[in-house]
Amino acid sequence: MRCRRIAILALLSGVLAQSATAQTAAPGGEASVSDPAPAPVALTPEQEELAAEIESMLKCPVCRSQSVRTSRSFMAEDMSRRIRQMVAEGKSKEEIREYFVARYGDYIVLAPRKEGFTWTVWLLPFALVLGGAVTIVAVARRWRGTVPPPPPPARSSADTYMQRLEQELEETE
Amino acid sequence: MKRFLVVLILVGVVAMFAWALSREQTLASPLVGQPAPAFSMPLYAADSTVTLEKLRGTPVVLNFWASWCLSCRDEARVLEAGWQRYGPGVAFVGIAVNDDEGPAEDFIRRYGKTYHLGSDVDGSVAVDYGLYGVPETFFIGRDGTILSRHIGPLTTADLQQRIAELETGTVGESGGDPSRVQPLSIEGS
Repeated sequence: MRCRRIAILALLSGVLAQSATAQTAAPGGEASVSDPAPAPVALTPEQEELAAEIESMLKCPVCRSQSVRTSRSFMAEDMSRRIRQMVAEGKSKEEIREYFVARYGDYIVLAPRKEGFTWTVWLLPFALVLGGAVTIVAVARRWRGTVPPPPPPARSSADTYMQRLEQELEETE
Repeated sequence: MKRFLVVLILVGVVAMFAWALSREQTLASPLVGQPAPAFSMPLYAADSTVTLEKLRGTPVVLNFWASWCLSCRDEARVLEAGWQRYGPGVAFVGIAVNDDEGPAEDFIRRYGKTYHLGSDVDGSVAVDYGLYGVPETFFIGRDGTILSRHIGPLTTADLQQRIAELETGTVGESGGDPSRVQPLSIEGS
């Protein structure tokens, strides 16, 4: 009895598996326009970590300042799938980066590479802050150096009188 | 003199940032002048596939479209008329991106399309071609090199000019109207 049940279950699971295959594969085993969206690529924990790092490094091209990892757009999903496929194939971070740069240009990388002209992007903010600080110090020094001396106290009429008196006394002596 | 130099540097920095912000990132493609990425795509019309390899030796107009894309409707008849006029000496291939089978087939019927029309089932062809949205069209020479890329809907004049470039094998300037491209930014599942 038990063997019969097992045999029926095995038969049923076989039929189900066959119908699922028929739904996902076109005649002749080729892809079909009616194929469902492909299943996510399974990765090891280390590969998951690498894929996440690459997804965070690349910009979603149709979003505003969002990485492939944070975006939920179709484009980001397609890119994520490709990244995971390449990671599963054993491609390195640099190889995957180059693949996307070759298709979208350097623009696709959120943080530009530190080489050649792109160094200006990294260095310019520091240069501007430094330049601003130097300018502030120079201007402050100039202001300190050009402070006019306090004007002599205005002479009162009494002072003038005393001065004239002293002068006349000197003359009479 | 010193003040003039400071002003000059500041103007230069501002101009550089303004240029970087205003630059149309979507127009230029590093793939122009490079070998076209290979693809194999199931077709709507028959249980068969079309591959770029099979089309080697024939100039190819490779158009990415979607039934939900309004600009794609504007160019649908232009492309079919182009196929009627230049095919099969020039191969026309249409790849539906992020589209469902039913609406895509309705679109094909409504515009009477008869050239190779298939689906990028897993979105891999779109990524391989560095796509931003639809419609985008790549013009591939006989030797498999991408000669130019047009973004936005094609007009008859655009198509004639691009096909003339294809026939002479010259690398053309990328062009089009980026404002009429519908980016693939709709949220997925």
